[in-house]
Amino acid sequence: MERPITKPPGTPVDQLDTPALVVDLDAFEANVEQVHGFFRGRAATMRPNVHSHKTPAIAHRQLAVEGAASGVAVVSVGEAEVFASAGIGDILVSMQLASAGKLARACALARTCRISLIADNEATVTAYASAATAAGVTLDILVDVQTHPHRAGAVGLGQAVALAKAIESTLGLRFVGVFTAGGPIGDGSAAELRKRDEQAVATFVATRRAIEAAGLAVTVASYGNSTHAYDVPGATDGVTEVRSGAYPLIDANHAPHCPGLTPAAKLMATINSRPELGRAITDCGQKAIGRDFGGPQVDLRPDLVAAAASAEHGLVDTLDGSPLEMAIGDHVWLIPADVSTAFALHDLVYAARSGVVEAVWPITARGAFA
Amino acid sequence: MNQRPTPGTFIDELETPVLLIDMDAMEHNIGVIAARYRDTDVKLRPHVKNHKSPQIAWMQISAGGTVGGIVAAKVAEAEVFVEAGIPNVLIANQIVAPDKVRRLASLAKRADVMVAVDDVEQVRRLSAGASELGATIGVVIEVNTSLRRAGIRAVEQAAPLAQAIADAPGLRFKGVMSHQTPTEAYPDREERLRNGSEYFDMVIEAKLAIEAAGLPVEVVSTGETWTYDVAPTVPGITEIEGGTYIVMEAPYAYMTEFRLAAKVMGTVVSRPSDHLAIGDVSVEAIGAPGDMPTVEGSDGVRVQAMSLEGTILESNGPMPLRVGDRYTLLTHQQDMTMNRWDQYVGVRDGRVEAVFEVTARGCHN
Repeated sequence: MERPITKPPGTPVDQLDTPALVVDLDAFEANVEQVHGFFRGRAATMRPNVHSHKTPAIAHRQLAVEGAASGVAVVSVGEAEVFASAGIGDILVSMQLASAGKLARACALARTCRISLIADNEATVTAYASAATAAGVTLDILVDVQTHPHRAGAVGLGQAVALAKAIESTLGLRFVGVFTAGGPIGDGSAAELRKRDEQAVATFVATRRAIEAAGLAVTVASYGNSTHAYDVPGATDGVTEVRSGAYPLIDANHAPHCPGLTPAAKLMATINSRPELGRAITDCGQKAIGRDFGGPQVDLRPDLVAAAASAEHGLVDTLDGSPLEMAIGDHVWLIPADVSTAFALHDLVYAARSGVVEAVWPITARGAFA
Repeated sequence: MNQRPTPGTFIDELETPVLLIDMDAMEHNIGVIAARYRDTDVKLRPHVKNHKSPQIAWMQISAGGTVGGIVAAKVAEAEVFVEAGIPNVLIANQIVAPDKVRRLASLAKRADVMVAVDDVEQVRRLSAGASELGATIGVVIEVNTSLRRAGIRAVEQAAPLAQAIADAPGLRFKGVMSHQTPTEAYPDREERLRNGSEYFDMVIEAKLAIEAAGLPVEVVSTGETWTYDVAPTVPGITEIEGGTYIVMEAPYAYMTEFRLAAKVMGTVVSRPSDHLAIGDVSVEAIGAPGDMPTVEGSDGVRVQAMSLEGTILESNGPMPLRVGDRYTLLTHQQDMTMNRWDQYVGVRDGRVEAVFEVTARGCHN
């Protein structure tokens, strides 16, 4: 468990123990307003994928801003349990479940809140049905549709329609619609990426239409993984909700694809050593900021290069080896490459405004892998 | 929110993803180190950042061949282990923030504590904190020998810095330390000795320079798992820092005397096409900063990518894994993996034997 020297709200962030994970509330609120504002007056809503921060206090703040859906998306039953405990009443689990134990837990949750599960094959549907009937509940099921070659999902219209029919006709299950998880942002020009997203959305909506043509009602069409292009599915007729994780906090990997959104979650680190003129060593390595999706950036300093090359040490270098003005004991602010990874490494996040701590929030769903 | 499995539970009955520790393999690894160091003057100082469990630290110390203490990377880590009764801790890092220095000084009143420096500014800050609390903190000079991380860059810096430590109230000069990471695999022991020695030379030179200036050097702490067997043959070294050996990792598989002990087991949840399977071990449950994890007993199955939701597995031929099947991933960087979990499950002969609390997980402060 993380053990910082804790300081109360009202403390200037500069006095926090480091490495400290800090959310700038002004930037967070502006990001949420920007994205949710897009959805106001449209048919689709934004369902926050809260796996990106695992923090119920942040989830509630997202859901309170008009434009949001009535609930959240998570990636495991363990996460669903955490957010249900925090009072969130509508939870979509965006990974299929393949164990009787997890299904029993999902069914238990379904007694007190709305739980939606996804399926892309008939064996999974059968397992869901036997768990639901054993527990005496009815589960809302969405057909997972593949729109990226390396993601789960039913492939082809015929398979999706057959699966929807199977769900509809199975005791204990309620067919409610379709689901897809787009892939990672990927490489290519902005125009190429947009074209790819448009094609994925088109495949998704075509699947919805095929299921409707077969006589089934589709009430939910949930399109995910799209912080970088939420407006594409969000403006498409036939998509009822968009799931995005990174939009409220924005990380270094998303920032270049998301003009108008600002990094809001940063790590404050301390310079512990100045062994070379152009190099500083920080106390923020991989175990505090993550490196699974790349290295961090130094906030507001494009003239510096940061790395989390070591487990417990970070590096800050000048581009050309010229002297760096930072001294031992100074603070440096880092933007993580991937915000979800950074939150996976901390137990606490400091919420700050104008450089002063307003709240300390537990990252309650950290480690809820199962 | 992790559920704690009952000892005796069959591995196949465990909920996934789950971090498994092969007890036979871990005990074997501890035994290799204990046997190597039992009768030598040089001792091993186990690095606890790799497992973050006081229970396992005590297993390492009890097996023999160690300094009777540990090395930690952070003050918060050191606190966890001192609270668990470990009497002797080297923090192989620089501590500079005033609050944290006070915390370190407080720890030094309860245990034998050493910390590393490479600059007089750190010495000044440590001395102020130790004096304020009436504590004595042991100090070693970190020597950069391979990583271009912290550490003095030239031998000439050693003696003046040692003198500054010796002169500083509240501090006791103890010696020198360095850390090395191998740049490549060295299956050949002679080659390992040759490459390891290059790294050791400068830390030994620093020791000699300090002694020549009239200060005794009690501690020369260096090495890593990959030089565990060659470092003790180098005169002047008093202790080897080793952590990776406890569970090992795939890139060290050339050290065949050790066994891989940490594995993450998952379940296949989707089979969207002939060559593709999706599993429930996310990147956050294993940590994959470099190479993708290896699939154990792979059967032609490999990891195409680790996503935030799960594992993307692919095969050349037809995918042998079906929905509901288990698969096991071998990490390429064990301490990243161990730091993601609140507990790991010790297994032997197909059943759960013990559940270890990862007490120091997240102790990055």
